[in-house]
Amino acid sequence: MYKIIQVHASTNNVEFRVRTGKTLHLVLIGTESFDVHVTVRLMGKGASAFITGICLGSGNTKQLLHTMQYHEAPDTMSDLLIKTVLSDHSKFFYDGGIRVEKIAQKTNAYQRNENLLLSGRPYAESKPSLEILANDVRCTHGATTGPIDQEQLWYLSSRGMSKHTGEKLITQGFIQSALPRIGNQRIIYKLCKTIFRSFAVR
Amino acid sequence: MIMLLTVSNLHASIEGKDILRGVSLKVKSGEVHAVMGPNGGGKSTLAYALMGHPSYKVKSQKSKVYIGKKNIINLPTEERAKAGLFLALQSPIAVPGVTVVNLLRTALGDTKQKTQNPVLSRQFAGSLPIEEFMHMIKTYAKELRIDESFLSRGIHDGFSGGEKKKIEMLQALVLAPKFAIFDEIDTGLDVDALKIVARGIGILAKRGTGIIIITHYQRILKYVKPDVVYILVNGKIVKTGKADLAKKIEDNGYTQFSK
Amino acid sequence: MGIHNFPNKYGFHEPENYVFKSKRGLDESMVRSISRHKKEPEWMLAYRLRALGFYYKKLLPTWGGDLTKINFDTIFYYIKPTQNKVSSWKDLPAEIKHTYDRIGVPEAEKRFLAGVSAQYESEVVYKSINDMLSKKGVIFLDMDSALREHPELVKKYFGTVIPAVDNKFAALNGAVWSGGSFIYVPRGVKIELPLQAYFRINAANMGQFERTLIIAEEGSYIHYVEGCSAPIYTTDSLHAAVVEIIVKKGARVRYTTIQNWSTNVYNLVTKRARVEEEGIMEWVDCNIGSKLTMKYPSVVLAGRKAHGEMLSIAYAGPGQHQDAGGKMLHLASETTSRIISKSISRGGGRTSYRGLVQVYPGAKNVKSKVVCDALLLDEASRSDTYPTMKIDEQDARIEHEATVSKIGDEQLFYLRSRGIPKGAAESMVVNGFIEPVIKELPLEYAVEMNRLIELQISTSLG
Repeated sequence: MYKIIQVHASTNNVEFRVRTGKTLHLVLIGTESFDVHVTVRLMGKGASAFITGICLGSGNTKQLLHTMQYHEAPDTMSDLLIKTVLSDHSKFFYDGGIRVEKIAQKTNAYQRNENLLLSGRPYAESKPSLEILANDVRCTHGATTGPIDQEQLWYLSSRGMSKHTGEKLITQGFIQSALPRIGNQRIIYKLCKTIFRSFAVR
Repeated sequence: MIMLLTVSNLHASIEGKDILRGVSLKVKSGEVHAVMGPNGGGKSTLAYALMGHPSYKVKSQKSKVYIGKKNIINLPTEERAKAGLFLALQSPIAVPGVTVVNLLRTALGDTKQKTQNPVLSRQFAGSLPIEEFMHMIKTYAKELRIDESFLSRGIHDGFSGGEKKKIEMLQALVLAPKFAIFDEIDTGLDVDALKIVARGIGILAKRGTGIIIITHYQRILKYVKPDVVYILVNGKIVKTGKADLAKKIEDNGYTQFSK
Repeated sequence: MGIHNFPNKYGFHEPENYVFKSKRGLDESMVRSISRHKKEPEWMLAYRLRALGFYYKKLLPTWGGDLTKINFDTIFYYIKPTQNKVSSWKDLPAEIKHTYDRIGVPEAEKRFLAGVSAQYESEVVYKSINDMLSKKGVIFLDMDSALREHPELVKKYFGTVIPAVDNKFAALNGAVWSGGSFIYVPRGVKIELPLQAYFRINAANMGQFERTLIIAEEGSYIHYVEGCSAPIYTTDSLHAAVVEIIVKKGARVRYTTIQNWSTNVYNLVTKRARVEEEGIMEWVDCNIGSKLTMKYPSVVLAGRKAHGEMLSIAYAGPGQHQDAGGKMLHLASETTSRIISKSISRGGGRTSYRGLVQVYPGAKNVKSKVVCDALLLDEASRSDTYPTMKIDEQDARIEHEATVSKIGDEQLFYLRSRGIPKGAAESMVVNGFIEPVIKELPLEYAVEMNRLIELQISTSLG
């Protein structure tokens, strides 16, 4: 099941329950200020969920994203990736949890938050958490925050690209690399249009 | 058009340590020159310093690098690329989400005027309309035995050593530079891949690109005959010769040159 | 009267032994008695009383471990060191005696640890170390003596890194602290020999409310080791220590802790270092014992190019909760930090990592990496990670990775395919898991730690 949510100020909190053997593909896009809770419960054996989020912060946007991945049954899988590009005075707050109950043996749960800080004075706060009560599991989370990699920028300049063009290409690539996992070409295409439209505005 | 890449008395250091202590060489369009030497002798430094990597400090009063009549020693990297210099890196960094197609299109920019008529205006990569550009890329990919799937993946992201080298070669063929430096393009390649890359170099040279192959071994020189061979030891060129000099290395190693 | 007789000339000095009536619970008169008993200067009494005020006002933290079962009114807040020991070898819990045997604690140490022996024969060794130190101008004393002999020095730094108002348990410590170590290393002096809390055993360092203060002047180096891998049996249930460290320009301090309190103890520690330009602070922390430990060694990177490091191992067995982590506060530019946390839970134990990496505005070009891995050895165990990253500078490069899993089947299979039996293979994997931290311990501790962990897990894996 596919679900795309364009997150903005009036978006309500959402909860998804994934039943036995089902797969959820959830995509979150945010280009304005918002404060939203997204909960995904893997409730039946073999349930899985892929959550991909892309947030672009600019100007004075304030974006608060709270996610929870609850594993309440065995053999479940969840994979969450939140990528943000922040510039100007935007602020991004992420707190995301994975909780694996005792009964949820053989769970695989992943969570990753990557924040790319462009020019200006953006602020990024990341609070991933893990609460693991079953032992036959594999759970990882990771977070990275940083500016554009200078070596990548130099590589592109060695192909004749100016700093500005190189940064633009790398930023687009940063977001682009989150898309293939969504798996549905039509949706990916729609997303590209939405995201890169807001890029063109900059 | 025949021109010269002139490197004159190049001094370069990194993190305060002097690496190149006065390197001079002259490469003519269409010629293949090989720079060989033991590890730590300054070969990679030569490549990065010529391309203007910010970590390498060059003594610009003493050192000169000319492409034709243009002194590029003080130019930033992208200007050197635009002046016609290309560097194929030994271990290129991954740029996730940026495909080689995208990279090349952006690098070539759009040099053809868009027509006023929106119906007739077509997109260009450099001076080629997009369809022709894509066709060219796919043709080169096929010749270099690069699977098409690599063209739409983030460049160098998860690629093996051999795949990375071939993608660098692909870029050289598309960008058609005046002078191309290949930094250890032979390491990590099996015989088949080596032959393919060598053929790529041959094509470039035939079209008029002046080539500098930087290598530790003389493997690739079996498939691409160099016009000039330099031995770089401790930041200085200690010997210059022809293709047979490379054979001497194979037989006796480098110690004969480090005095 | 053994323990109280550490001779003056060795730098350890116990206060006069007039009769001190210890009573349970805490109030202002208790704090005044403590100060009077120790013959402290007026300013220290004032500090204690102010801290007591904060202690009353501050609330218990609502996060972390379960503190609800601590009965603050029944605790002895100031006792003589012998009062918390057993009166005879027989009374010592069997598992502790067993551990001493397994990890090879020498006979004399065993008896001392058990509190049965009144004196520890290490005088000769201790004397030569102290001679060496005093020749170099290094001061290494227990905190009470330091206050008496170097009051101005203590006054200059005491409470400057961790003010009493910081948290409830720092306030408690501020009010009733006793014992702990004081180390002062002069400019440019580097001491290669790790200074151990009185060569591993010192009653003053097994106190409930130790207060440690280390000052490393410019360009100096000191490595301090506290604690003991042999389990310390004590009847005290609350330990709230405070450790303050000042690392001046270009200096380096390494503070290694091996904590193995018996499993009736609440171990709530506040440890913080303040590092100036180009200084280095390294916390190496092993938490094996106690019922609940809440400890988050922190580094305030106040000067340019300062570096902070936190390497920790936490082990939680049945009924234990290790809630530990680290905080790296980047106040200045070009500062770097690294946290490696390895935890193991078994038999219902719970390990929690709680950490903070914060980059303040103005701190440019900061780099930080946190890796926290947890191993769950069985179904009953639990592991949590709660890291926080607050980044307020665009060019900071911050990375965090955490993994929770059990011993990998592939790893086990590989070792077993080389003829190694299952139990040994599991031990090997666990040892490999904690190796990045173990290799930073002084050799004799590393050996003991390995044996200790092996012992703990072999009981569960059978």
